[in-house]
Formats: sequence, C-alpha cells, structure tokens
Amino acid sequence: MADCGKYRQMMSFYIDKELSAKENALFQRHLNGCASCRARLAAYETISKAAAEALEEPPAELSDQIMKNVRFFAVQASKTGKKRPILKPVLISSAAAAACLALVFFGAPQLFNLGGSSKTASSVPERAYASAPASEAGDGLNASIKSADTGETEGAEAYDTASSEAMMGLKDDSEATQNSDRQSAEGYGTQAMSGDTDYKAYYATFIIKGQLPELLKDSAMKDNGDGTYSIEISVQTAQRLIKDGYTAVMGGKNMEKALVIYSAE
Amino acid sequence: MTPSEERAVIEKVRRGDADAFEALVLDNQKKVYNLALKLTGNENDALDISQEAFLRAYTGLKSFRGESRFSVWLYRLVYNLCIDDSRKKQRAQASSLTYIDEEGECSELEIHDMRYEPAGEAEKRELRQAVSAGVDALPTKYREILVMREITGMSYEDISRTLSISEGTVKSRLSRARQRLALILMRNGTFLCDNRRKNLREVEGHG
Repeated sequence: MADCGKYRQMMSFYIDKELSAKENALFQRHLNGCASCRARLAAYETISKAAAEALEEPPAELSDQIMKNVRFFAVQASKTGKKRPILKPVLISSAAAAACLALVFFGAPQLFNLGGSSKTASSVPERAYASAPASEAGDGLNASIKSADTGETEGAEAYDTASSEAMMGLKDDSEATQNSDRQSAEGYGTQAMSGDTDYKAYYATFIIKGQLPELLKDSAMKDNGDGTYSIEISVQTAQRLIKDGYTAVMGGKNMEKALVIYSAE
Repeated sequence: MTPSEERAVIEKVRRGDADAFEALVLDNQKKVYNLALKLTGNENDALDISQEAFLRAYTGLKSFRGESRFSVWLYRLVYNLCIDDSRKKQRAQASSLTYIDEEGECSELEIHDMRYEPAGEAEKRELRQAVSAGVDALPTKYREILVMREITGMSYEDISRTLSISEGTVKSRLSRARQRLALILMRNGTFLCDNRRKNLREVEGHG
C-alpha cells in the first residue's frame, strides 16, 4: 500500500495514454496485484467516459449564426482598401445591419444597457464581433493575404493574457497590433461616419453613441455637422476608456492623441 | 476531418472561399461550445464565446501557421476568451459543493470498490449529471484542466501551450483534479461500493 501513491500519480497519465512503454508495464504489474488501485482506476475511467458522454449538442442555429457573421465579414473585407466616406446607409440585410450595430456593442454593453441577462437561452444571439487577432497586419481581411511576421507561432497567441492587452494598445507590442480592430470601423454600413477618418493618425478611435462617458464630460467637442462630434483625447484617457470596456479601433501606436466620435443617438 | 483535409479547407478559405469555413465550424463546434460552457458556466456566454471564437479564427486564419491542429488553435482562442469574459465579470469562484478543504486529504483517500458500471440509460444519465456537477464544483484551476482534457482530448503538450503552463504542471494538476473529482463523487454518493449501492436501491424501492 505504501507505494500506491506513486501509482496513483501514474494513473492519470495512464488514462491519457501518456505513459512510456516501460512505465506502462510497471503500472500494469502493480495493478495486477492491487485491488485498491484497480478500484481507483475503474473510478477514473468511469469519470472520463461520463465526462466525454456529457457533451451537449450546441443549438442548431449556432453554426448558421457563425457563418452569417463570417459571410458578412467576407463581404465587408472585399470592400475595404478604398477610402470612402460612408455617409449614407448602405443597403444590407437587416440581420447584417443588426450585426453591424452590434459591432459597437461588443465590450461596451453599458452604452445601451445591454447585458448578458437580456438574452434568452433559447435563441442564439446575433452578434458580429469585429476584433481581429493582433497578429493580423494589413488592410481589411481577405483583401491582402499577408502573413504577419510577429515572431509568434500562432495567431491565437494574440490572446495570451499579456497579448490581449497588447491588442488594446496598452502595451507596446509588435507592429501588427496597430491594425487590429480596424475592421470594426470598416464594418459600419449604416453608420454615418465623419468623412475619411484616418485611424492611423490616432492612437485609437472610439465610436460612442448615447451616453457620454464620465471621463469625457468636460472635454471639448467639435461639431462634425452630421450629428456626430469629434473629441480629441489623450492616450491615457483612451486607455482608461478601453479598460472601462469601450471598443476602439487601434491606430498608430506612436500617436499621442486618440479620437472619440460621439453621437447622441 | 483528417489533418490534410483540414489543411485543404484552410487553404480554400485563405484564397477567399468563405463558405468553405463552414466545414471547420461543423467539425469543431460541439467541442468549442462545451468547452466554453464548462469554463463559463452558462449557456449564453458559451454561445457568445463560441461565435466570437470562430469569427476570430476566420479573420485570423492567415496567421495560423498549421504547426498544431486548427482545433488546438481554436481551443486556445476559446480559453482566452473565457478568461477575458470572467475577468470582465469578476466572477466569484463557484463555491457550491466543495467538500474538501485541503489538498492533503486527496492523497489519503482510499477508494474502496468504486466500480460502478451504470446499467440502463437512466443510470447513465444520472452518472453523467453527477460527473458534470462534480466538475462544476471543482476549484477553477482543476476544472479548467480537466475540462480541457476530457472535452477536447488535447495532448498534454497542447494543453500546456493553451494554458501557458509547463507540461509538468499539466500532469500534476490533471492528476490532482481527477483525485479531487473522485473524492467529490464519492462523498456525494455517486460512487458507492457495490454493497452500499445495492442496499440503497433496496431502500429506495428500486428492487
């Protein structure tokens, strides 16, 4: 019994087939002579089996919704690269429009008092998320198939705890982080945006509607004449907004100012 | 999907065929969804995160280098999204059914006769629910790693990269997670020695 501790350790590896041939043989030999360990192994195997069988089917609409988002992005991507002021509503389907507006909502549910609780469990919420992994460089999505040489092995590395901050521009990271979230602005079909907003000229650009953040209450606003106001803010303020959950299109990391485009409606 | 089929699909998507991405979605959505479900604890978040993960995977496909399987990359996206999500919500750790206060207890556990082969469908369902609840009751780190392994089937190496911990930590944590889960299940009566279970059945009139 005394050395069962060692075999109990091995048990987990045994189940996962991560023991070497030699270790396997050793383990099996012990098993043959130890009822307690056999019982424990049986329990572990039962658990594993039950856990694997306990997988639930995702709702049927999940894949549909995902592909809707994907196709929407693909369409938007084919339009990028051209700098054009999106001053009038583009004709897109209502689902895409909802997804479009939802681009603003991500990360900033307080804008419209939207929270997770407002969704019902039975429906798959329609959301399109605009942020692209930080390692994406270049304009738009499929428009340019450049692979960003970030020195990281996989795009998913971008979502390391450290890198997700880098993505928001809070830490200086590879050049590729500059263009992350660019798509969130490109995707606005029904938004009136003030002319050609040059994102690269700012550290970050925020689109805020409805409730003006406390942080900006005393800031100078410039009337753009189309219902929106431009507010220039410091990088520090921008970072605080990001921390508070406001989504931003990141621009040039060396820029000293950030921009808020605010509209009351 | 075999690795080479997967590579072919990814290549198609990279060349601009967005519809081809659906094959990757269908292939991976069940595990992605369940991973998110177990890590966040609720359906709505799991759905949101599943959608987001796939969308990010799509937009970031160019930077996927194929050094691991697409699924592993995808699970990492899911995991990191769940982390971000829980940070935003500052979720308090589930405190429901923790029976064990000290880790030391686990190693002392003698599991007597824990063989339990559920006979009919009802018993199987019961067991699945019990295991699911037991997993939910685990401390976060244990739940995460057990869920990673049992739901995704990732190797220790892939898990270590996904969670950004050493392989040694993966091994020991997984082992402890299983021990703790077994303990929970024994304490709440899911695992009983054959005698006790028989007696229980008689008492409850199952005959």
